[in-house]
Amino acid sequence: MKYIDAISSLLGQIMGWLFVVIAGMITYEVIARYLFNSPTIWAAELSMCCMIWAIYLGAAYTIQQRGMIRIDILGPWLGPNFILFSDILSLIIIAIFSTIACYYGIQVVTDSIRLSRAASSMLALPMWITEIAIPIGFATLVLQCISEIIRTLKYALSTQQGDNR
Amino acid sequence: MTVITLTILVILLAIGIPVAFVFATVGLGLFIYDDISLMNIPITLYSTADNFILLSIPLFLLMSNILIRGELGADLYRAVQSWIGHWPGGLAMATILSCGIFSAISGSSVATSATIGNIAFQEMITRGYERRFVLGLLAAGGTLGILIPPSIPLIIYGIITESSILDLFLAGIGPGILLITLFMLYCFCWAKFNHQYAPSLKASWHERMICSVKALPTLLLIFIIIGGIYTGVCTPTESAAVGVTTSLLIVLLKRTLSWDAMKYAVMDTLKTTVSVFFIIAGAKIFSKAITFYDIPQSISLTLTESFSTPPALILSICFSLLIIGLFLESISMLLLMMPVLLPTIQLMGIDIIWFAILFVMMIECALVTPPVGLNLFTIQAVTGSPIIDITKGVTPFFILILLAVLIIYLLPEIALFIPYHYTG
Repeated sequence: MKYIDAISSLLGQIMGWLFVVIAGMITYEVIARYLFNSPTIWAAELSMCCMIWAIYLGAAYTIQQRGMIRIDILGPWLGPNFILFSDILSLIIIAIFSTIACYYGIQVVTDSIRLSRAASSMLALPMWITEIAIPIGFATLVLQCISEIIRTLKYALSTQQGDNR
Repeated sequence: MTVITLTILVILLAIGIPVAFVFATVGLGLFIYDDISLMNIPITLYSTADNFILLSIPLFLLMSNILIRGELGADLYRAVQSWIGHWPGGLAMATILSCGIFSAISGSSVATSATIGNIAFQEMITRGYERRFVLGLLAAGGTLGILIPPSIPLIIYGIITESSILDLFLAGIGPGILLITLFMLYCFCWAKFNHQYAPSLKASWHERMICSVKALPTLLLIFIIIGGIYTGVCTPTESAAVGVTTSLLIVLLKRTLSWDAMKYAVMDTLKTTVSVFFIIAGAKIFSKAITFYDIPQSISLTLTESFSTPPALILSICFSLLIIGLFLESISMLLLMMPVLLPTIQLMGIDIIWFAILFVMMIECALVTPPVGLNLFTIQAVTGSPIIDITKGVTPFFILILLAVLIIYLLPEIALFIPYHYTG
């Protein structure tokens, strides 16, 4: 569990900084186009690639930080047991969806490698380089969900024991 | 099928399952039920993120996060205050105007509320402004963030409806100015009838100059971003990237951004981006799934049959957005409603750009109406005041937004003049 949390937060840290890298690349592209009159062929494509990686590999971190937008109106009314139920159900649903997304994501990647599909652009990067972000991202998401479920249950148990005493 | 799907959707949302996964899972369920290949799931997830226009969202977010952490908002607020602070209700007007100016570099209303709210709240309270009025003012001022370009909801709207982001941005300017004017007029009238606050002293020309020079970097940034997009020198995404680099340079030169603050800015950007993109991806899976069941078509058919004229349709859409907006967060609202409404709108010949502005203004209403209003939560977090006070304070501004919707409905030129006379 410790390792899962560490991996998610490390991935998150790296992925966050990718946006700074993207901004740098695109700024360079604009400067290159106007000042040096030589647009690059890599800036737009590499930044797209970085964004896909950042979003899907940053997902586990976002779940860890409880950063996903949710509608929290019933919680305050129905009390802690309901919040616990809602938390666990959310994590289970995310885990199930992520498992399916990961499974079919792997198929897309293996197809791309088998057919050696490449992006229809100047750089012609192999497709799997970006597509692989989806199975990896959702795999870490599944692991993070399991870790969160264990943590939430442990915490709930410990506070209940505290109440009984 | 339509009723069952919607019921499940509403129940899952109410339980508090993250919005993105409610959409995605219901979509997944529909796929499985109709034996549609689940390969659609990773393909949709991939194509959502593989979009150069959407890349502008994290970049605009990163830029405003850097500016917030680098405390540039304070300089802007001081400058505006030094010019108009001594007017009746001047501090309140300065707050609205600062929100408006900050909206021209920020695409999100939460960022606008948080930035200006942080600085203006203490200032206005110590000057004796009524607490509720201040809270409402800040919550409402922040909503300008999504109307005045750049705007994240307008970018998403442009992608759903395949309309020009530039036109949408240009159409936001007129209504933005209208709303600022209405808000400021209200502040003026409020000050005329309430005398318990202490007016600010008139700043000297020397002070004004110093404050304005300090705010120059922010104005420069606006010039670069807006100028870049509107002259066609760069695309919205590119100008957002240039904006990030410029704001980084500014905070580095001013030495107002610590390493830790930068880390927070970056991680906040990642969290918001991931949750926004997951909602977009989830909504895409969902809307792909419901088209297999002809759900948008059947809704569109019902709509066109029950509302024979565009005004009746627009009125009922605005009314339902008001109700949905009580419970749903802005981006989900856009992604859930637009794909369903789009065919009807086009069929009735309603201008898609004009409708965008009306829609965004209804989102502004949604942002300040409880129980789910992101701006209320933001102001609550910034000031530590109870939601009920903020809600009471925001009510007059909420009515002003509705009034502005009505004005723009009656006079579409306010929104459409600039985009239609700009490119020709």
